Amino acid sequence: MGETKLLEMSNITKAFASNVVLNGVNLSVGEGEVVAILGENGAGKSTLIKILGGIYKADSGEIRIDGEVKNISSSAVAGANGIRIIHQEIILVPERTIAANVFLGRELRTGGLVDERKMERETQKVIDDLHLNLRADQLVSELSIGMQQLVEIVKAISADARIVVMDEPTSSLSESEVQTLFGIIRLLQEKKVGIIYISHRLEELFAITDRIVVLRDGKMVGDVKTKEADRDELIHLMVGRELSSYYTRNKHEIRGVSLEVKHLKHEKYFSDVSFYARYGEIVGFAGLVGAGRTELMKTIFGAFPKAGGEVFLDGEKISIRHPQDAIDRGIVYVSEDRRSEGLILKNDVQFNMGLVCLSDFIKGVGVNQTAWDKMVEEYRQKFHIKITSPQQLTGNLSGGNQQKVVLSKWLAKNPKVIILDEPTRGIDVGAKAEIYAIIDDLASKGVSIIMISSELPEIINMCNRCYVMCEGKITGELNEEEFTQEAMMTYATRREEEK
Amino acid sequence: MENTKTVRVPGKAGAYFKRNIGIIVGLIILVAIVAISEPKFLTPSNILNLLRSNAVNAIICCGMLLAILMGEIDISVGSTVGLSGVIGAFLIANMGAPVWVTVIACLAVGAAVGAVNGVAISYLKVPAFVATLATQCIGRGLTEIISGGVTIRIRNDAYTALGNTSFNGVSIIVVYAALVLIFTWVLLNKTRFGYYIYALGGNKTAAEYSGVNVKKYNMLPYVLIGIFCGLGGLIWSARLGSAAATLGEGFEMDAIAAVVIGGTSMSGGVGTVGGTFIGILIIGVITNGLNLMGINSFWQNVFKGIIILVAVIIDVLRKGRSKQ
Repeated sequence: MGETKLLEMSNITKAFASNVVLNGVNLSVGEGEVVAILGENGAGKSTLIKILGGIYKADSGEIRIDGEVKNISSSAVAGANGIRIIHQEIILVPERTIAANVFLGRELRTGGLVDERKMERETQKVIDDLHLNLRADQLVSELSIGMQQLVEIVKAISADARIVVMDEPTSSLSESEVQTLFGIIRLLQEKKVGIIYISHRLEELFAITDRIVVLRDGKMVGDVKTKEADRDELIHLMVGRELSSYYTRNKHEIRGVSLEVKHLKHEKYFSDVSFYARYGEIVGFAGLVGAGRTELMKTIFGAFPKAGGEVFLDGEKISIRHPQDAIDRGIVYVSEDRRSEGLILKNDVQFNMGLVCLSDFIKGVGVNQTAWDKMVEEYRQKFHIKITSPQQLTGNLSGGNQQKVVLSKWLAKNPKVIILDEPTRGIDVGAKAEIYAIIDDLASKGVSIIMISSELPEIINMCNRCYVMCEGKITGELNEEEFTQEAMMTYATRREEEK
Repeated sequence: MENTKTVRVPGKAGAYFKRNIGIIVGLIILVAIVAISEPKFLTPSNILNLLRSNAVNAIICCGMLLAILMGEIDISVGSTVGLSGVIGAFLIANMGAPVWVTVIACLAVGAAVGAVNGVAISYLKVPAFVATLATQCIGRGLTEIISGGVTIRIRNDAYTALGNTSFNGVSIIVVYAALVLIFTWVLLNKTRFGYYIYALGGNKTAAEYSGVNVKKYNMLPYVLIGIFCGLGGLIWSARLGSAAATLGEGFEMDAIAAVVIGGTSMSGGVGTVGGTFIGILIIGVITNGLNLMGINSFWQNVFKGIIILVAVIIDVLRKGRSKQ
């Protein structure tokens, strides 16, 4: 290969103590090329990216940019070499404008003073280039999560970017925002920017990337042209074993109505929502980010105040004013944001698992450690949770294991109705399949499941029935046999078409 | 096929030592330095004196630990000690109230201030720093009004005995402090109340969504802090046989220092009674040692400040390293 690549990382090895995380990994990206890194959590993807970003230092191996060896010793050096990393988590200052965020740390000045106007003009130029419907002087806190993610991208590329790394960029984007993102990526390609794209969603990799690099246990196990790649083969490479079935779906016996919501209203997020769920049934909630699904469920759960409407459980009208009331009645909500709403990351696995059922383990003064240990051990085995000990901090677990800890916490309460909000967001393929199996198992035991998901295949393959929401209203209800991506997207964007 | 992985968890004492290794070593070095330069330091009478003069700080620290564990702070503790001490002295010396009434009054004053703090912070969403700054001002003002700016002398032997009795040389106020430390340890480690404090300090939203009544469990610790301060005021006024308007001034600083040196995270959710105990001893050894060496109290403040900075920097560095 005579040509010099834009980026070449060769023979990268990195170990933390005795744990070898990366072992002789090679990665190259050409100008205008989109390269995917695929791998389960723990495969070494984020370590590789952190080495490129100057956060970690490789034990051996070298990084060349335009054929020149570079010592990327800090994130500042990475930045100076045109490397931009867009992290999965959004790192913006919410109460500042888009322009202020985009220029954070390199504010434009005129005569020594920060020139707000100029920054807004520059930012608006980038926004317009990318055909985004944003204003540079909007506060970040006014934007949806998906839009904030796009602001991160604006921020990354407003400075001269040569290599852009996107870590799970679509995890909080709706389908239409994903299309916007793809548009941005194509624009960057035209500008000869090299792109490293990390995602669990194979569909996306096929849609946007040129080449797919597969990592497993710190080693590179595949480097294939996307055109020649095969889905099953990729999964096989990534997991190292055949996933006999990705989705688990058994026939459940659907029984009577569990939860029924009539004309529920919220001052800001949704209006006049009515739906029902049944025991043994998985009910999906599809829609775009910002359609009001999360807010609806949080209102039912008592975390948000309702502005009107009624909620029934087993045909009886119930009043829920705090999450406590909901939990007492057997309705639980598993948040989409497990790091900030599901777990206490500073605390250990045992603490987190026991939090909901604490009165089972602590009565008055004194802890029943044996019972508590038993509960943790039971769920650890049942859900194959990978932990070094029950005292491991939840903040140090992978996404899949964190989600399993959260599920254990709730299932210990034997809930009647479980509301799952994006239950597989940000977790790897193997863990996803396991979560699907858990959900299916619960439904077959007669638990009523409500599942919000922005991944349509997930709804299509898991649910018995689904509602579609758009801009705070339920715009459609589909039965299993009517499930198609097209139908769901039509309902999810119904409002816009009517205009 | 035995699938159970048993994990060796160090014994209680071992775990305690491991978790607090940094400050334990710090304390030992500090003791060594002071003991070498001032041989009087390690005499039994000086050690008993050291424990006695830090007993009230220890009680206040237990309260401060609760506030900081919630990710908040209570800077009204010193003024609450003053207010309850002066009210106690006023009742027993000027009103001729019986001892038991005075004791209850001191604790009740503390509880009342704590309740005001708790309601303001938890239910009315006033930031803890601001709420307790306000009650600090109010408390100090009331203390001056009630005392009339002069020291109230107490001539009730039964009352002063509450602070001056000793058992084989161990002062009763050391016993009070030990009881409060044990009480706080049990509260934090053996009751739901304690677990909820850690939970809401670690992540309030997650705690709320897990069905924890965060308003209630955010409010009640402040009442407890107030009661501890009431006890502190009672003990000081009994020990001194008098109460002045300046009683308790600056107590909040020593308490925050000890809790922070003890490894408690200012952002909440992380901290222990055991660590705080060592923090209290470190502050105590510095004060006592510098006193023995005849260094004046202005310099003592400078040293305390430096120790706090060093302790926190070491802690931050250690955490930063363990993350990678």
